[in-house]
Amino acid sequence: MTLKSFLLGMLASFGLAWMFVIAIPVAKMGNLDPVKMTDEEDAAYYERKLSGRVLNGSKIYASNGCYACHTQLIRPTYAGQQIWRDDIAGVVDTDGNDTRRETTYYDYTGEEYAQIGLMRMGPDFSNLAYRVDKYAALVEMTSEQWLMEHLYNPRNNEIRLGKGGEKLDMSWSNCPSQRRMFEKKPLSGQGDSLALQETKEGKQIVPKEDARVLVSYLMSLRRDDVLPESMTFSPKKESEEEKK
Amino acid sequence: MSTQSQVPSIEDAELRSDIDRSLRHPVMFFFTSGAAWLAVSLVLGIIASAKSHNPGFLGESGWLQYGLTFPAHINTLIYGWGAQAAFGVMIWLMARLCRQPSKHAGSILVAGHIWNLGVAIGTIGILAGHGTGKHWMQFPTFVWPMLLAAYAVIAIWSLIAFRCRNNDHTYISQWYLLGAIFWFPWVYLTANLYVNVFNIHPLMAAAINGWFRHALIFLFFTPIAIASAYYVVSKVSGRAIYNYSYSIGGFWALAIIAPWAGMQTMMGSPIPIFLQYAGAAATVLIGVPLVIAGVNILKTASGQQSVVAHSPSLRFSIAGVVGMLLLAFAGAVLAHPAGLKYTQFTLAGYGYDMLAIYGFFSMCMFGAIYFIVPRITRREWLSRRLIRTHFWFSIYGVLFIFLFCTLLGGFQQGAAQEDHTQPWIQAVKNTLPYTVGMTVAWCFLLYANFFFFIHLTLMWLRLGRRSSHPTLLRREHSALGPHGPEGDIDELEAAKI
Repeated sequence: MTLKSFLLGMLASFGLAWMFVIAIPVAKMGNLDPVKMTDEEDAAYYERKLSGRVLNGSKIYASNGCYACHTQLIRPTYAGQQIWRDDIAGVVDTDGNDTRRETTYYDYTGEEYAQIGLMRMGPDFSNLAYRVDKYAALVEMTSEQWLMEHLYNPRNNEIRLGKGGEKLDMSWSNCPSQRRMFEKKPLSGQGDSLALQETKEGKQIVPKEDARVLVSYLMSLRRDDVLPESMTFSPKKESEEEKK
Repeated sequence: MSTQSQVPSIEDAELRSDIDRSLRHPVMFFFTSGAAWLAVSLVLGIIASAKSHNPGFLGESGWLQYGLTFPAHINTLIYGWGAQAAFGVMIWLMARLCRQPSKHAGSILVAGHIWNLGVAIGTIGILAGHGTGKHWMQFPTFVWPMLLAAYAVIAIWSLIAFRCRNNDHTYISQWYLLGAIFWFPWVYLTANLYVNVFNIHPLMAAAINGWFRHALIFLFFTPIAIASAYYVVSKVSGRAIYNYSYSIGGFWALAIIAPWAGMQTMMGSPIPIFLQYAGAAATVLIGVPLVIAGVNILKTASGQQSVVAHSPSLRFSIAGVVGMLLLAFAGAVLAHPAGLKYTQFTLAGYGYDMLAIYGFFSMCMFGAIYFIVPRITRREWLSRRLIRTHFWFSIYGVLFIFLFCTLLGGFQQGAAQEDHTQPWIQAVKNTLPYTVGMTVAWCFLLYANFFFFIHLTLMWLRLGRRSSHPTLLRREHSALGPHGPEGDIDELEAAKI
């Protein structure tokens, strides 16, 4: 084998895979056709609507390593069963509304990098905002307030359901505390609306900018918008089709 | 044993010692700073692992939380230890096999310092909360051009040495080294440009990250480890490679299969399905080149049990080759879509990486280091006990990570996650024993490598034994052996002249 034939072989073996795995898929995925909501000719195009500081917040999420334990992916059933798990893939409410669905390629709109995640040491975050809403309502706080308390001390068992009632048991959580995103500030006026319940030496514990941006991003993790028909793979649709 | 090895001529011996002397400083610098980074990485690994089951460990606040220590641990392991050990072996082996003393030790040493500076800045960046959040690429984005430039200066001289080689025959290790020299910049540049520079679909960025991790293992760490194992095993056992054409075939099989692997980490995400299954298939098929190389190397050493028991280089290299065969098996089990369903988001991915980096690659590098260092420092290793400790604790640690945490733990954790009728807390509880197991395993590896680092530093300071007899793991020397009567190496040489 000469160096020339070696280099040609390298170019062919690596270059071929590189074209088909990297270059072409990137070009294709960067240039997706917009999707119509229904098959009808004059139907509107689907657009993923976002609220919150998604781009900045996803950077805080990334640089603090949240992705190491939390995933953001609801896999189709060929690859996993989490679509059936309560509150993870969506919510089935008492009125029969079902927002459970698989992740689509629009769900990471506004982010630079899809934080699929590495290990599920913690629960999936595809619909985190739902669960936060639920917990916050139980303890009569706003969702942002509850999330701030949770970021400061994930094992906080002082927050009780319905004020003084039974505990919302979080002592088993192995989530790291993000205390560096908070600071102590003297209480002034009515205080900060996102300050923690706990006060230290007459001072409030107030989230810094990082925590506010992160919470804004986390509260945007709610995948419940109406999808185009061609992209809806929710279990609800499947069961309806079975009935037909 | 003496009948198997050729008797080298005096010119030959002089050329070899010239080559060794010319590269002493850069090679020792790469090995020693690599070993120091390995110790740092293992400390960070213990902290991260302990925090994954006991978040209050070392206090709740601040800089050592799991989300910062875990990426710092991985990146110091890859770029601090792995890449530097690979560079040291690469430049020495290439110079030896091309029979060319290096004239550029100075520039390689400078580039080595720049590499270390990059890794240090990157690690501090991660711990200070400026990581990029892309697995294995967490260093702040200004670090990667720095590392790539340092790499270019280090590797270019090996390439030039190959072009101007002084012998006609090209040994299989040279093809593997040459492959790694070309693949690394191609893979590293592709991944960093697409993920960090170009504005591409966020899902494709994540997919390329998965591809990058596998390409780095299979197209950089693997060829260097195989090159080193082929060389050390046939050199120490004094035998030719069992089947030379298979070794070439194994190289091309690796070249053809490996670049497709990696995107199975995105299984079930909305990227083209072809990419997910091609990645899984390639990761399973990678077993073919690994088994070809592994069996070929083991066959070369077969029937030499007493040499394997005596020689530290051979023992570590053979252990690394066994690690390679385990990696082939792990790839087939974990990347098969039926297994991936359970293991995709579990400890198994981490364990697989660690088996590749530690159980396979690092063990081969240790074998090479135990071979190379006495030759370039002209001093023998100080203590067989330190080497034995290093060997056995490495084996215990990495086998525990693979068998207990990866295979058993990965499937236990995955099965609990898949059982959607149980609340999530069940999955957290099921994982607990295995995360505790990880912490224990890292403690074993730290114990092994702390002493390795001390031993290596003493060797760099030239405090090794001044003996003409190598440090073997069993004491069975006789004056009739291949090394002649034992004595001070410098005095013996002076007497000859």
